[in-house]
Amino acid sequence: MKPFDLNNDPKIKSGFKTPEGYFDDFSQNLMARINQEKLVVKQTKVISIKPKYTKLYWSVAAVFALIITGAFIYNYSIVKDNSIEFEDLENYVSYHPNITTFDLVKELNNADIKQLEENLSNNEELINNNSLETYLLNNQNIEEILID
Amino acid sequence: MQEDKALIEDLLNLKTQNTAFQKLVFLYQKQLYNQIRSIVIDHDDAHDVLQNTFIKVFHNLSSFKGESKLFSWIYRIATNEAITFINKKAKKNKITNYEVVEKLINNLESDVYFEGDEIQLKLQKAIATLPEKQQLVFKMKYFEELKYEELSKILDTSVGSLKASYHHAVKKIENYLKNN
Repeated sequence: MKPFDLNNDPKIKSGFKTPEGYFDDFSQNLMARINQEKLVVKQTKVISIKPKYTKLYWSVAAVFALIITGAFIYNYSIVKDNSIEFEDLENYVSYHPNITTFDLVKELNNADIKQLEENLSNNEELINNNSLETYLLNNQNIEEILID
Repeated sequence: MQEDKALIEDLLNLKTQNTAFQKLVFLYQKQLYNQIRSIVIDHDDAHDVLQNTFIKVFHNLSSFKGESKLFSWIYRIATNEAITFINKKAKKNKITNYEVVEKLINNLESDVYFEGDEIQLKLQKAIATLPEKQQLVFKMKYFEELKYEELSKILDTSVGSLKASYHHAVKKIENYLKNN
C-alpha cells in the first residue's frame, strides 16, 4: 500500500456536513435568542419588588445590632473588683518557674509589705515551734525548702 | 485591523449593533462551526457551542482590546467553548476527554451528519489517537489551513512549538493510516 503523505497528497476532507440551509437560518435564530435574553433581563429588572435602599437598611440594622451586642458584652465583662483571684495568681507563679522570690518582692510596695506584716503577726500565734517542727518533719522536700 | 475597528465601533453603537452583529456572524459562522465541530464531533453539540460562542462574543465586545485581530479573538473564544464543552461532558460521565472523543468518533459512521468515506473516517480515528493539544493543532492547520502565526495567537503557543506539534501529529497519523 502506498504510504500516506499528508503534506503532499490531496487534502482529505473532514467528512462533516450540516443540515440543509443550516447557515442561512443560523444568524436569524441567534439574533432571536439574543433579543429574547435582552427581554428577560429587562423584565427581571422591572419586576423586582425590592425597595431601592434595602441593602442600606440591612447594613444599618446590622451595625446597630453589633453596637448593642458589643455594649452588652462589654458591660457583662467589666471586672468591678480589680483584684486578681488568688488561684489565678498561684497558677501563674507555678507555671512560670523562672519567677524568683526576689522578682515577687520587687513588685511589692510599702502598703503591700505592711499588709504582709500584719498578716504574719496575726498568724504568729499559730506558728509555734511545735507546729513548725511537725511541718518540717512531715514535708518530704525539706531540703528544697531550706535551699529556697 | 482598520476593518476590525469600524466593525467594532458599529457593534458597540446601539443603533447599528444588530446589523453589525449579523454581519459578524455571517463572516465567521462557517469557519467557527468547522473549528467547533472538529472538536465536539456531533452536529447538535456544535450548534449549541457555536451559538454560545457568538453570545459570549456579543456580551464581551466592549472588553475586546484590539491587540489581536477580531477573528483571532473570536476563534479563541470558540476553541475554548468547545474544549469546555468536552471537559463538562467528560466530568459528567466520569471519563477522560480522550474517552469522550473516542466514543464520539466510534459513533461517527452512523452519524447522520457525517458523509465521509472510509479514508475520511480512518483519518478522524487517527486524529482521535493523538494527545489533546496535537489534535487541536493538526485540525486547525490541516482542515482549517490556518497560518502558524494565527495559530500562535489563538492558542497562545510559540510558532516553533506549533510546528513541532504539527510535525509529530502528521507522522503519527501517517503511521496509523498505514497500519490500519
